[in-house]
Amino acid sequence: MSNIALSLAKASGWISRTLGLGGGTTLPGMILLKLRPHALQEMAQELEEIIVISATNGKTTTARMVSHAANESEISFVANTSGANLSSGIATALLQRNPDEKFGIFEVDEAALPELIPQLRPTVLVLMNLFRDQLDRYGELETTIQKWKEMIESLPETTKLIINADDPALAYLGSLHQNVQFFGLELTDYGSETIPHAADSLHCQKCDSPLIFQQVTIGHLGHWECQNCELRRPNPSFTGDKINLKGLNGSEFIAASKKDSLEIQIPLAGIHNVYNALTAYATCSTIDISTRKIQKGLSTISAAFGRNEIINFDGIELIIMLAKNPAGANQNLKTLLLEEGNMHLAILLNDRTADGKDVSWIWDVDYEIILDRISSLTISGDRAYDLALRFHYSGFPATSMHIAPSIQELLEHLKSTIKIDGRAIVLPTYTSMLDLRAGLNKIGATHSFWEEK
Amino acid sequence: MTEIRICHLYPKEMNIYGDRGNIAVIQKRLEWRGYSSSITPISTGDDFTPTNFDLCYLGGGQDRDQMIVAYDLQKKSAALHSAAKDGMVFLWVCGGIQLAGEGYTDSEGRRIPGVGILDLDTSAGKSRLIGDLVLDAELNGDTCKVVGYENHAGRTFLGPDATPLGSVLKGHGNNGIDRTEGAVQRRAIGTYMHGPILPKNPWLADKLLSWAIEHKTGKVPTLTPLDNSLENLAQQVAITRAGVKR
Repeated sequence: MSNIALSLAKASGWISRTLGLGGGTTLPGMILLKLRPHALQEMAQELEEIIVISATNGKTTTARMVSHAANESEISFVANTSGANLSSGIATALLQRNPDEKFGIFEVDEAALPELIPQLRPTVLVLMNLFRDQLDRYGELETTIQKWKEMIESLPETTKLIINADDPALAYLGSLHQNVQFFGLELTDYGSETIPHAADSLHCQKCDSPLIFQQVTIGHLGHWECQNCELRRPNPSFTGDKINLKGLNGSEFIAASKKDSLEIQIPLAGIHNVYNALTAYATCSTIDISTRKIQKGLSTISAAFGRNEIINFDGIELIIMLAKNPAGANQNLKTLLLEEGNMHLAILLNDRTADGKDVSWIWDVDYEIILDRISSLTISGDRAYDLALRFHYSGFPATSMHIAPSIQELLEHLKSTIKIDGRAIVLPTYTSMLDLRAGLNKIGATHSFWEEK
Repeated sequence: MTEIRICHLYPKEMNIYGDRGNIAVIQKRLEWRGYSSSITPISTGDDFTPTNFDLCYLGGGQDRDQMIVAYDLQKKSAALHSAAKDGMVFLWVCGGIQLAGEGYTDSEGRRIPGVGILDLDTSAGKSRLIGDLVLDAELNGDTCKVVGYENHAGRTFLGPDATPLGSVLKGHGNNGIDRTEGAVQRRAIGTYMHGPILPKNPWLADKLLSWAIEHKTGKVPTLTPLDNSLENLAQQVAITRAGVKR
């Protein structure tokens, strides 16, 4: 490969950090791909095993879990750890790879995936879920499903596909590939018989008839079958059973395959993280990481950037739970319900490109379930008033909300409201989380995100 | 207590743009003024009885779901026409405005029939029209700014019997060409605006409520004024962020 292109691109990361422009997690790759459009393919060829993980929700955490288990196994790998999940981020990671790293573990944006797969040619492709998310950016869910379908139809048979049996649309896509294994959750007490408001993928991909659900866990994920044709949830090779959710303290369940069965404990909250851990288990088993290493890797994982991450702010514990689409936000709220007592809640809504310009999704979030558990509500972000209206029309008294026009005012308000050793739950969109971190960073409460490992 | 009867058409299929918010606003603004309300979901296969409702809501959906719904709506077409003639209030948003018209010609030339309660026709454009939308809206000679968000591939043109809901100050509107947005005919309103539309536009919400109460009671009501300060602030932020001067 051209040395000039490589060195130029590599230098840009250092320049970006030095100038305080950011972490340089995408710029070097962006420059490289401009200079050498086939660079991704060329660099990916040098790897022996490439795992690609994609989903609307959970891809960052799952990739992190797989990386953790790979670490335990002393596999040397390259990964896009900072969630830079477009071609530029992956190119940057590959550019900075040590030659002895023969594995690649990448989380990839669901819209960018169909274009990236032919370039990366993964040995293992893991597809977790598709929920409605940022309609202005991703378009309709159905469009993404169609693009994924074409992608799967042109996969080489050697690619091992790992797919969530509980997602009806994805399970159908999986059935189109020979080399596929499914994972799924067994029936659980945390499931529900009723489909939540605004669930996606409720019609059969094959015949358009309504699907029947025996149980749903998150959104449209669950035990399903078509009421008309023969399509139904495939029998998973990897199952999660006997789930125990311990609120913000973590979760445990039994993961099993034909070969083995093991108890998995993770310090991460909510059934969505059980899905993430089950996905990681299925992925790790497929690349022959031993059960003991998987167990250890998952039990010691810390939260990914902004996903149930705890930051100490002047004696107040801030629990940050990224909430960027209805399915993810509803999971966070359900997790909070498992906690005892009332909570101080702060919600931040931005409408920048990475958040989605259309903020209508907040009306699909079931904030109603936590209204009587809120001891204080602080609202901030570029579209704070839209959020305030959301609560106003749910019957929450407008006089009990505090609207903080800036991050600084938000932090000041939390400090004046919450006692030392108390805690606040913060639900930010992606860019408002970056704003919050920048604010906390300024006062030394946290580190910069590119230092995340 | 007077009960206003709301029909929510296809809530399972047509709900992708926070449509629940519009229903919540209608219910709460009625409740705050001492009216009760009932919501009846009507889905595929269900009958629609015109005399049972005062207001009929239909939201936006994905193309695939819209297709499923379009065929079911045909079976309700006669009932919907009689309801519209009788002065029932309609708010049909996004996919809804297309279904309310004569029909929709998709990108492959297939024709999806509408119910024809609004005099308009739609065909698919090459690109999607996406972004903030700000209007100078007019209803019964009364004017107000209305804000929302649009995301649609359809290009809609009105016939002589429908009037636009407003003229576009920012965004694309019905077709990106004639600066019109939405359609009004009798008490039926179709619009591409979601966001959802009603929370930030109390003026429009109250117009609909007034009509619905009149439909139910036969009398034009005097609505108790409500504190709209949050609504107005949210609207102002949306107008400013869309780059429109007030």
